[in-house]
Amino acid sequence: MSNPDQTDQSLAQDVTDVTSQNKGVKRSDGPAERSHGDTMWRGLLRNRKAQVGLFFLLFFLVLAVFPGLIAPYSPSAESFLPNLSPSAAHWLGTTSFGQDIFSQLIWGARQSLIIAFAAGFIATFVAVIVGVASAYLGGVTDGILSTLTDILLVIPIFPLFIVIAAYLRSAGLLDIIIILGALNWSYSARQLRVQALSMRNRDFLKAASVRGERASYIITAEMLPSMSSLIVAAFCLNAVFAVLTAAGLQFIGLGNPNAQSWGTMLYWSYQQAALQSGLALWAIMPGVCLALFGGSLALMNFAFDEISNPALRPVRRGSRPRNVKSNLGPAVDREPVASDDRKTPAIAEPPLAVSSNSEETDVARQSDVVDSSSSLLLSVRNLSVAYASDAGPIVAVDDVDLDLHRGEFLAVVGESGCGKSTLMFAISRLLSPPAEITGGSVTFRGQEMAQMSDRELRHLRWRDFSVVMQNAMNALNPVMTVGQQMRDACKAHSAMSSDEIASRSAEVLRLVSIDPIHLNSYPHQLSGGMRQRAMIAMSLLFTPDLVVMDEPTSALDVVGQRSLMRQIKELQNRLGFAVIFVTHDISLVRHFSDRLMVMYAGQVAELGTTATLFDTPRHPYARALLEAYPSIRGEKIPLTGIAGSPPNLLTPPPGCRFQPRCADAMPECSVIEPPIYKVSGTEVRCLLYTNATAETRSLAGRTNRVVDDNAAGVVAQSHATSLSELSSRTSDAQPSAPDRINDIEPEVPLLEVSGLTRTFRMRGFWSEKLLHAVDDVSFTIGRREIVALVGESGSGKSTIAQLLASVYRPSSGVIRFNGQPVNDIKGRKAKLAYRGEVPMVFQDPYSAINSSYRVSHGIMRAIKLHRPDLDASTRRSEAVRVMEAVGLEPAEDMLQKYPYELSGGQRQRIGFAQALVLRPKLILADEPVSMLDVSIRVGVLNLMADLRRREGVSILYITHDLASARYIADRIIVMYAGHVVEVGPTEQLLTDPRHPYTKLLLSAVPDPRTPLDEFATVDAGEPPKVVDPKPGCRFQPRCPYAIEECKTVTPQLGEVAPDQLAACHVALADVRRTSRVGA
Amino acid sequence: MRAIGRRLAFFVVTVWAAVTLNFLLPRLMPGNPAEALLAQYPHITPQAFHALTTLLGGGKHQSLIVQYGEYWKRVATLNFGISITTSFGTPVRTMVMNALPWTLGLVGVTTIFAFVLGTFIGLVSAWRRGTWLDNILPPMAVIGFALPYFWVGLLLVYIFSVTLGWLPYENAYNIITDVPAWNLTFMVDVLRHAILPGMTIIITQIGLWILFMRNNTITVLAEDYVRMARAKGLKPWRVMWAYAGRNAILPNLTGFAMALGFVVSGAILVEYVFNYPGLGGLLLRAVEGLDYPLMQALFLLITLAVLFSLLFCDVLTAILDPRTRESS
Repeated sequence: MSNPDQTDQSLAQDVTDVTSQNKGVKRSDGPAERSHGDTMWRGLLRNRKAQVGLFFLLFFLVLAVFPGLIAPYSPSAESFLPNLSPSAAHWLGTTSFGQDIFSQLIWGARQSLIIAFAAGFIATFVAVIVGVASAYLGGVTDGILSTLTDILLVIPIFPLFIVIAAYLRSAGLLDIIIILGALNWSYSARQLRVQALSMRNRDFLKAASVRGERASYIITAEMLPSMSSLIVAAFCLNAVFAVLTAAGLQFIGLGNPNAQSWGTMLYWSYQQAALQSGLALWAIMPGVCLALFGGSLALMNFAFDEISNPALRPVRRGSRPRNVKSNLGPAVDREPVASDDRKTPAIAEPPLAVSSNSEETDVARQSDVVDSSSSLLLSVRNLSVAYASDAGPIVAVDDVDLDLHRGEFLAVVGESGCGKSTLMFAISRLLSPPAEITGGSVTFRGQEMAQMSDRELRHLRWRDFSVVMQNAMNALNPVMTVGQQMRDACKAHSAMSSDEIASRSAEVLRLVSIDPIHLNSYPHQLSGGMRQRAMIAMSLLFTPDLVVMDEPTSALDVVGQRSLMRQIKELQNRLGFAVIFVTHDISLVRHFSDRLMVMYAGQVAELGTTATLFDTPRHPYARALLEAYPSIRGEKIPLTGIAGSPPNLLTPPPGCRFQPRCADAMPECSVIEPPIYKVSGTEVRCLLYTNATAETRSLAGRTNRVVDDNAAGVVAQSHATSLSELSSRTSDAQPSAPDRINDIEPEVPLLEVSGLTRTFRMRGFWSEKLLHAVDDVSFTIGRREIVALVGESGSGKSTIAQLLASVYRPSSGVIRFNGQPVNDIKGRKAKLAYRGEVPMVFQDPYSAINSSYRVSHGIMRAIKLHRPDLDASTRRSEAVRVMEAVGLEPAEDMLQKYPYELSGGQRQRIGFAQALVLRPKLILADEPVSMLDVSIRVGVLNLMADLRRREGVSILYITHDLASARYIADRIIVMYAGHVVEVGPTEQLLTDPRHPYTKLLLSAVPDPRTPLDEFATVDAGEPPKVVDPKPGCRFQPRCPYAIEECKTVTPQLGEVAPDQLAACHVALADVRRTSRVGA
Repeated sequence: MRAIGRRLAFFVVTVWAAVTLNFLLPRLMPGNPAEALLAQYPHITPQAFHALTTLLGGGKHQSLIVQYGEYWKRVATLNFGISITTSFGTPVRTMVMNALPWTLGLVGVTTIFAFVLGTFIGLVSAWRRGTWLDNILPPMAVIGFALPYFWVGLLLVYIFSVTLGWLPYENAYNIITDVPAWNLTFMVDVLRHAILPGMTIIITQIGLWILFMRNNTITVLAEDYVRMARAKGLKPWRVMWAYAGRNAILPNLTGFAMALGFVVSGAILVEYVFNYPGLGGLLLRAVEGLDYPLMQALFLLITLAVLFSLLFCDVLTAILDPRTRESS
């Protein structure tokens, strides 16, 4: 019975998700629930409501199938005395016609069941066809079908049905079923359409159509299985409605009066005034049966809704008593025992030295606190947070200690799922169930926050500490103006007059360079960057002591990110508040934070000053994290990333949590849980520092790094014994720096794009506008070449990929593949062949694989479609070959897994395997690493370089990240607002960019290895949406070098250096000037 | 702007569809209703019979298009002819107009009341997630939704009228002793008569609104802006109303509009059970007596009533949600 518009809302959510994905935003840190095919049935059996519903359904089913065996008498026999009271012979008495009521009830079950299932089935069947067809086909079909659906929804069906029945003059069972089924599908059709629409944006459907699947296959085999629980829920609802409506019709006498049904019983009892004449059971019992039967179906519907929408499931609360105080001790009470209960009994106690050392560390910290107590703002001790789950508590934050001083900027860094956001919400007491603080203390300005009542806490909030969240689109109330939301905060904490509030609100908006006129704007009227700034402004209303920022820049593009960071830092210097800044991007905070805390698997891995941590990272994880970033300048170093993925926090590995992925792991690491050691000012949780003076024993002795994602599994199994074996095994896989291949054949480029344009219609009420997503774009890709297409979101780079993959048709312009125009390819076979040569790999590895099938599904479908001549065993071996080629081993096992069993990196490798099995010439890789964690990005980048080398494919690598482009690409194409602004060989373009936009982009790339570029200015501009463009340079409004010509004449690409082209009047004029001087 | 234009277009199309459906149904059914009526009631005047054939088809054989045009003329002038069986000779328009206030008063008021109350309970239930209230309410609401309307009416009659004798169980007022007038005794009697049917409607509807609102609110509660409101230190009731409730009510309103057609169905049966002089009861009496002219007019009117409520919900949504006011 869930509201169709609720799904509408989640659709909108999906859309925002998609936009935020462009920038590589990580979803929340809490443990995620992954759905997959057969969890529906398992979930059903575990659901209490479903159990009750199923029980009653089965009960009525038995009655309906065997009424003759159960009922003592014939239901129609009028052979008894009328109006009998209940007795042993007639349990429920008799009717005024002398029939046995109990027998009639039992026989009545049959008709209700038939109506429920038959009419429910027809209605659901029609709903699925209409809903899915209108969502999938879109356009006019959608317009017609959804209008029809809405009309049918508005016309009251019951009166219509009565009218029809009246014309028919009576309605038999079959009439009822057909009419009910034919008229009653609109509600579910609407629901299913919304769901199907939201699925249409899912990449696995795009993947199937790019693969060349027919629409019928995509709908029946890819879409429907993923909608199964919603379809079943719709069926239950339709069945309930059918039963109730049929009973209503029979009750008013429009059914067959001789039928054996509960509705007919009610009809006769009402006609005979049974209630008034002492035969109440005659009227009540059929209703009870109807209610039980309908109720059980409604319960099933509710259960299926819960299954398809986990948010609706009953909330689980932790086993911890509600009173927090009882569990919390002051920081001094810290006992080493605290960590013992997590260890399995088999594991030996840690050596004495370790524990004594940890006590020393504590003492040291204690004295720290005393020394600087005057400036100490926030002190967190032993803080733990757990999410309650079916399988037990998931400890997302485990025993975290940290101190923050006034005016300090502390960055908290870690991969997704490491607990950093959970920690922030715990500190700001914003956790909601199933997450709960399970122990520890948070002292803010000497007051214990974890123990504070909500009311006390409210007085601190916003005045003394405020919060800035990741996605301002979601964090600002969509139905209130920015000004109203600020006023809310002011009113809650002060007695300011309206005028004072207005002037204060305007003041803080000006702080973040937003025109105060936007106080009257709703959030959706602001651009992404402005929303984020507005939220920061709001957090500064009372100039609090502490601002907690949870990934405030992650939803923004590189340039916006950089300028917002600068603004935050400036404001902090000016106003003196302290900042806790959570981010997954360690390089972002290099130049802004005073101290840095690296989290891993819910624990502090390393905590020290930012400078020290970047110069001499001590924890192997911190070091690996820093080394995972390709550099934008300087020497190009082959990178390895970090093998494997963070552990499941439900069952963390024994000993050190990083140990299965650690290249420096020692045998004892898998036994002893490392405490925190203090090594010259830095806190490190690693056994390498058992002896605190062993600082010299740095990571110099490390030998090899594990290369593959899936090698981690191997490491985890056999770590203690086979470390040496592993290192020898992986050393030959050590990637060399991706090699340049210059044997590009000069004659015909593999792909040649010229004048490519794609516009999208934006319908207004009065007029129609054209959005120019891709505008007059030309470029080539050579054989065995990796070309990076770089641009911010909205620059048109993904549209280009979809044009090349024939998802869209170009509005104008030509794509030539191997010299042949792609638009001229006719016939399914030839089109299929093109799709096979130019496959696509999608951005979001979680949505690009259909979770209802095993991993092998996509690969085998690709073979079946594109290489139908292969026999079964060759297909199998081909699948194994590509799995091995992308480093997923053991291939046979991996093929049998379900997607939910794989990590993000492994899923992305499957994307490449699906492409590879087609024997492609050019792989379109659309932001393949932006959704992945830093530690595994490099692995996928290396894979691409590898595929080019071993398989000889070309790759169009679409990205917003210049550094990763530099890492693998031969050439770079820079796009801005639908135009190509600069093209050139990678190194040349990056060392000597000519277009001002390329320069801006380059200066915005955070690079931990180079000092902050002091000349880069705060640039609050954003790329324009190109609607009905006028001539002129699109970058001109933001360009510091713009001249008069830029406003009126669209610059064309011209050579600015050998092989390097730029579309910039100023740069081209420079070139002309120097060449004249040279001549 | 565009959204409003689209809504109006939809409104027009639906009215057209409902009228056309009304026109086609009797003509598509086996046998001709008008001639069947003439056979049954031979003293129908030729004029009345002509009126019948414009409504129901049959009679002298005109082309469908001409019939359709004449039908529209009648609909536009609200001239649905006279009642045949239910109350012979009375213009249908008069009968409908007499019944309309009773339905608006009973079904309209109780539906809005059930919606407001159910929405409020749903909001509170979601807000107190995991408490006893929220554990008990959803299953109860689910089962309430599956109860047959008319049977709940019967049950209430049995308990409060037959067994306890507290309240009357039929008609809108005591038709023997009362004279309809704007005085206190009459009004009190009308209220007493409205209690049982009103309770029936509320009991059977409220579960739906509770569930809708609860599920919407749960979705909204997971939004960052609610967490943000808590972070701002707003008072809990302010967070619940202005941040959670204000956003959750938007899809709830649409849901309300979508479910209205369903709600009306139940209300018709309730009027029948309580012999209430409203549109629903009238419709069923018309059906029993095969009074086709009356039936057609009532069906059209009920459809229009639902449509107008829908339009009202749209306007309300536009007022509450700034995003729908924008032209894209």
